[in-house]
Amino acid sequence: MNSRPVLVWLLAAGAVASYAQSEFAQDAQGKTPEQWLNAMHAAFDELGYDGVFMYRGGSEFAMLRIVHLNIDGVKRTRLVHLNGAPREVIRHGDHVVRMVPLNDQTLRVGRSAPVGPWGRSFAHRFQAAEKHYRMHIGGEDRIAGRRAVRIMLCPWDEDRFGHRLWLDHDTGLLLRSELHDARGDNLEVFQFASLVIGEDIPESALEPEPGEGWVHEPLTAQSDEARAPELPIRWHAGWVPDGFVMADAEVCDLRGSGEAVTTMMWSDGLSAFHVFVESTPDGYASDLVSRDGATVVVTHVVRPPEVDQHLVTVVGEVPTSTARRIARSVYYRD
Amino acid sequence: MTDKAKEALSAIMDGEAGELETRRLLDEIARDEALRDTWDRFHLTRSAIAGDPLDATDSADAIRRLWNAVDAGAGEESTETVETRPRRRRFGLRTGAAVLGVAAAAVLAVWLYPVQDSGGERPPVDSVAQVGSSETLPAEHAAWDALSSEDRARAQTYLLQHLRRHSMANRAHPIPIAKLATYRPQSPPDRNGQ
Repeated sequence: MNSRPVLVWLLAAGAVASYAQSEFAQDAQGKTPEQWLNAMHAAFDELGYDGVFMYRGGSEFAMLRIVHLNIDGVKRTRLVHLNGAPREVIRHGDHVVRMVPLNDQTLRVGRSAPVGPWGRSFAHRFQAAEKHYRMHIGGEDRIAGRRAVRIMLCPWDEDRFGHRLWLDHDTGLLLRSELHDARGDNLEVFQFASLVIGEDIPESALEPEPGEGWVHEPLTAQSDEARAPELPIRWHAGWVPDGFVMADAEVCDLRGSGEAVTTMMWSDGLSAFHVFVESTPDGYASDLVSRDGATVVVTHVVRPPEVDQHLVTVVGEVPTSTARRIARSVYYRD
Repeated sequence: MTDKAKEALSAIMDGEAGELETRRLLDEIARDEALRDTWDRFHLTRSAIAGDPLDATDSADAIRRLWNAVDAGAGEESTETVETRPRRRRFGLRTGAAVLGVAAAAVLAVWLYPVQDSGGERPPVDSVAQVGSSETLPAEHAAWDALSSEDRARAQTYLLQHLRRHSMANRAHPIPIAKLATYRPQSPPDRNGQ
C-alpha cells in the first residue's frame, strides 16, 4: 500500500489544525486568551463601574447592584441586594462590612476572617492558571449592550470545573461568566444586565441606603494584627489537584468554641477550596457530601494513631470526587 | 457491602423493588461509597448488555430519577416498582451466568467509555434555564439534612468562612463576593410541609 496519500492528508490536516489553532489563539486585537485574562483581572479591581448583575448558583438566584471605584488608590465596592430584604456589602480597601436588618441571621456565624498576605497573593496564582486549562477565544458576543469577547477555559483534568468568560471588548471587564462541569452543565452564572464604566460615577454611589435598625457586621478583622499568634500546622493534605497551591494556612478558634481549627486554603488562580480540621465531636459518624451549585461540602473522619479522631471538612468549587479525595488524603504529622 | 444490599440493587435494576426498598437503598447509596461504586458498575454493565449508550453520568441521573419517582409516589399507597429506564429486555443480575456477563461488560465499559473527556471542549450551554448542578443529588441533601443541628452549624460555619476568605482573595471575579452576599444557611427540611 502506498502510504504517500495518507502522509499528504496528515500534513494537510496538520496545517488546517495549525491554522485553526492560530485563529482561536488570538482575537482581532491580537490579544491572546492569557492577555485577556490579565486584562480582566486588572479591570475588575482598577476600573470604576456601576452596574446591575444577575447571579445564579445552585438554589440561589439574586439580582445585585455593584458600584466599584478606585479613590486615591483605595478600592471601594458597594454591593446592594435588589430583591428581598435589604442587604448591602461595603468593601473599603481590605475591610468588608455587611449591613443587614436587625432580624437577619444569615451571616452571624463564626468570627471575622482576617485578611493576610494570601489575599494579595491570589492574583499572582491567577497567572499560572493557563497551565491547567486549555484556553481559546470563542468569538464575539454582546452582553448588556456592550461588545464582548468570549474566552473559553476547558480544564485539562477532571479535578476542576470549566469557565466561559465574556469580557468587555474595550476594557476587559468581566460581563458574563459561566462555571460548568464536565458534562457542560452550568453550575454558576453571572451576568451584567446594565453597566456604566468610567469616570463619571459619583462617590456618593458608594454610600449605603439610609435605613433604621441596620446591623453592621464586619466580615474581616480590622488589621493583620488581629490574626492569632502562629501555631504550627500539623495537618496536611496528602493530595491536591495539580496546580492548586496553598494560599493560606493557620490554626485558630474559627468557630469561637474554644476548639482549635486548622484552616488551609488552596487555589489554582480561578477556583479555590478550603480544608478545615478539628477534633471530632463524639458521635460524628457519617460523612457528609453536599453540593449547591459549584460549591461542595465534604466531611471525613480521620483516626491517626498519634491523636484523637478529627473531622476533616473540604469546602470549595471543585468536583465532588475531587473534594472527597482531598479529604481522605489529609494526615497528621507532628 | 452486604449480599442483601447487592440483592436490593439488583432488584432496583430489574424494576422489581418497591418504593420503600428503593428509598432505603438510595439512602444507603448516599452513605456508602462501596455501594455507590457498585451501583455505577451495575448501571454501566446493564447499559452495555442492553445495548444502550454507555454514559457513566447516567447512573447519577438514574439515582435522581429514582428519587423523583419515589418522591412523586410519597403519600400514595402504591407499591409500584420504579424503573431506572424503559426496559428493553428481561435481565437478571442474580443469576450465575450474569455474574460472568457483569465482569465482561464492566471491562468492556471501562474500555469503551473513558468516563470524561476533560481535554475536549463541550458544546456551549447558553441557556440560563439550564443552570443547575448535575452533581446535585437529592441523596446528598438527605445527607446534609440528616446532620444534627450542631454538625450542620459547624458545616455552615466552614462554608461561610470559605466564602468570606475566597471573596477577599479573588478580586478578579465578582462571583465570590456575590456568593458571600447571597449566602443563606440551609435550614432543616420541613417534613410536614408546614
